[in-house]
Amino acid sequence: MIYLDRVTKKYGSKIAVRDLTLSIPPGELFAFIGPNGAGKTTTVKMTVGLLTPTAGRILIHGKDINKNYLEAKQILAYIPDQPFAYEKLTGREFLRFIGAMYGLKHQAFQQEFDKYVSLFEMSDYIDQLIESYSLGMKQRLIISATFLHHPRVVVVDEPLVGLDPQSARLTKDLFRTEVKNNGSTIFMSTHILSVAEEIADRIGVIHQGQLIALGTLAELKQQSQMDGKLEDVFLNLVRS
Amino acid sequence: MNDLVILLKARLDILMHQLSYLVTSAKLKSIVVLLAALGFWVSMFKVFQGGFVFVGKFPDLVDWLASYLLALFFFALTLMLVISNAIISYISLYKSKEGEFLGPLPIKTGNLFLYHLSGSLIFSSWAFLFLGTPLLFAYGVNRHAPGLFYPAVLVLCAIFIFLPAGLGTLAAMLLATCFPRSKKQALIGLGGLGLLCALVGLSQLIALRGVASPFTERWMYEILHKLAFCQNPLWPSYWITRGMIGSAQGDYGETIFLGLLILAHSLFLLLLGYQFARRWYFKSYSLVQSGREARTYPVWGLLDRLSPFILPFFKPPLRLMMIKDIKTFWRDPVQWSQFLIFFGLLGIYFLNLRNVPYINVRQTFWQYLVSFLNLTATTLTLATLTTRFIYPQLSLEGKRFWIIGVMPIKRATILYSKFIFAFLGALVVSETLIFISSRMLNTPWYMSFLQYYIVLIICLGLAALAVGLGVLYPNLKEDNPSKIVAGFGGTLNLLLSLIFILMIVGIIALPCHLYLILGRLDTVSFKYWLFIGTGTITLLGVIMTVVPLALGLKAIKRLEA
Repeated sequence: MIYLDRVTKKYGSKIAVRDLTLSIPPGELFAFIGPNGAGKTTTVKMTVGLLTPTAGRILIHGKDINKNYLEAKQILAYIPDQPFAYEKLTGREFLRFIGAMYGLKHQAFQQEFDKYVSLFEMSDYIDQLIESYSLGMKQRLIISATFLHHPRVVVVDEPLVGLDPQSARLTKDLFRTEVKNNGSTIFMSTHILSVAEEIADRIGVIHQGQLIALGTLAELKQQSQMDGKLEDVFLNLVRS
Repeated sequence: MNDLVILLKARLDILMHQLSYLVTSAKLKSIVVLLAALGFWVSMFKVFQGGFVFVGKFPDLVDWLASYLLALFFFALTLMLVISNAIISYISLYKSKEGEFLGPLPIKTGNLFLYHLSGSLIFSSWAFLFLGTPLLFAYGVNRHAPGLFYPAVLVLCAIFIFLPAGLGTLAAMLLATCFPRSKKQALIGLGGLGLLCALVGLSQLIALRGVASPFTERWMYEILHKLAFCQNPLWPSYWITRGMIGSAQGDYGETIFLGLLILAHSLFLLLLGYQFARRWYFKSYSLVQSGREARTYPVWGLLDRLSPFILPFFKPPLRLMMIKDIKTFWRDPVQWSQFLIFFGLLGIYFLNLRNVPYINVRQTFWQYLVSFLNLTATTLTLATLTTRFIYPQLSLEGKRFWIIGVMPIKRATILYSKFIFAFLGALVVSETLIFISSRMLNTPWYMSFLQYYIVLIICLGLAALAVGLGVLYPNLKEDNPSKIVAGFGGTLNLLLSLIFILMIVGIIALPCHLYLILGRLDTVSFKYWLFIGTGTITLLGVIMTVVPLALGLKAIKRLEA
């Protein structure tokens, strides 16, 4: 569960996120959408502990990300919009590094490793240095690293950038499976409204640092008094 | 497994892959680097040994002088290590992609501090061992030190490097915590502090004026008295100096005591940093990332409006590329503040040449000696700065290389714009300094013009070399310029720059020395040799400019981003 309690973030005198309260329960895939500069990435970075809120608090399964950061991060995983991986490690070494960091035992790691290598068809290049990977190959590796330790909370910023249609499909299915079968909470910030429309349980719209709409797609349509695609609903909400 | 162990194991794996690549795929590169490093080490050893042999000619003073030399050397090196550790740690802790990647992982913040410290320790301190060992080994050979001296020296150095690393990393965290939104002001403050220290040092030297005639015993005592600050028992650099001297004299008790003293302080600093990181790292990280509100710049800045008049001879694409580089340079205080500190210090010194007690500007000997030393100091400083700032420029285009890569301009324009930017920048600063030096020393007109010409040749060569090698050995994946420079291309650039400067200065300085100081050349022969020398440096300058640019041109056309 993710709980943002009256969170505000200021950059100098500019308010990037204003008094944001949001609760995402276990077993929910939440999509966070908004125009450029609306405060999405700031919210994401605060949620994973990279930025400290100017006011308010953020709880990950009841643990304050800033005060009890180790316990909170133990059950958290994060995929940034521009993922990082050690270029001079092989894919296998990188996954082993992540597994060890989250305390996975050898057998458990091997099981998960085999599962994701097979799922994302990485066996041909998993023992090559990451510097030789394409963007899509790197993205598949990062997604595998994210789910390797079965995090209870996953925060994702633009998850499908660089993925081919097959990998994008696999990733979306993986997100749904994790939410449905394992009760994970996924907080997904995205610009691709069709993805939000397709897989999200609830959608939040942020504009100029404020949450202007929150609910299921049907609720958002009702709120904006429109019956079209999410794109139309979103544009109407933002314009109004 | 402990999170720090996991992080260090990953770093070890990365190191092993890099070594394996060097051994299997880059044999020639590895051999060139190894041979160059070995040659450099041996040359340094020989130079230091020569120095100690010279000092040994004064048996009454030898111990005293050696202890001053070592103390001064370690004092300066410690200061540089603290600064370099602070800069590398700051980038690695607060500005790197790796810092952002590690932030959300379940790693204790104290261990994050230790991990980043270990990185800056490796990057900063290899030069300490590389520069320090030839001096210490030369000292050992000269003092007929027992065999145990050499391992003791290595152990002392290995313990010692943790101290400036701890101090530098702690300083980086303090800077980020106290001045998170005013990096420029903090850097200006630090630069100001450096200049103030230089002024204090200079005023101490000026105070010697008239106290004693140069190169007399009294003069020597006065000079050493002014340098006594580096012998302060509270400086860690003094502990390592005394530890070395103790082990050279077989007094291992003192060496062990001072070694433990250094170890205790190193551990204390690590503990302090660890505790500080536990409490403050994420807060300071957030403060640094939060930054200041973005500044709005004028639609047409002064540079945009004046560029057609300042740079009238260049075609618009070339001019636009240069304006982009000038703006990038000007808006990054890390870059210009280092230029300001180094050249500012030289400028202050040159402006006060007439006040320096041992320099008699009316004597040809001093005019010749000091002006050539100033020329060498200026160009060597320039070489380190072109290596540090110009060489990584193309690499720093990195993932943005496509922007200029797909523009409707020739790739050659990119190369030439960087070359002209580097050359003009270097020329203006260096010629100004040499002009000040010449005026202060009242050097004859022919010597002044000769030195202006030497500077012109060196600026052309250094700019072309840094730009050419920067294109030949690009590292488009690295964002940290320190790491780009630490690679093969950066090392080669610095090495070739140093050789080039020493050749150019040496070719002109030699006939001047033979004629003006030793009187071994008559006026006709002097003019003849000067003419030949000028022709030779012109030829060398042309080669050093054309060859790297031609190779760079070929490489930039092939470059794939």
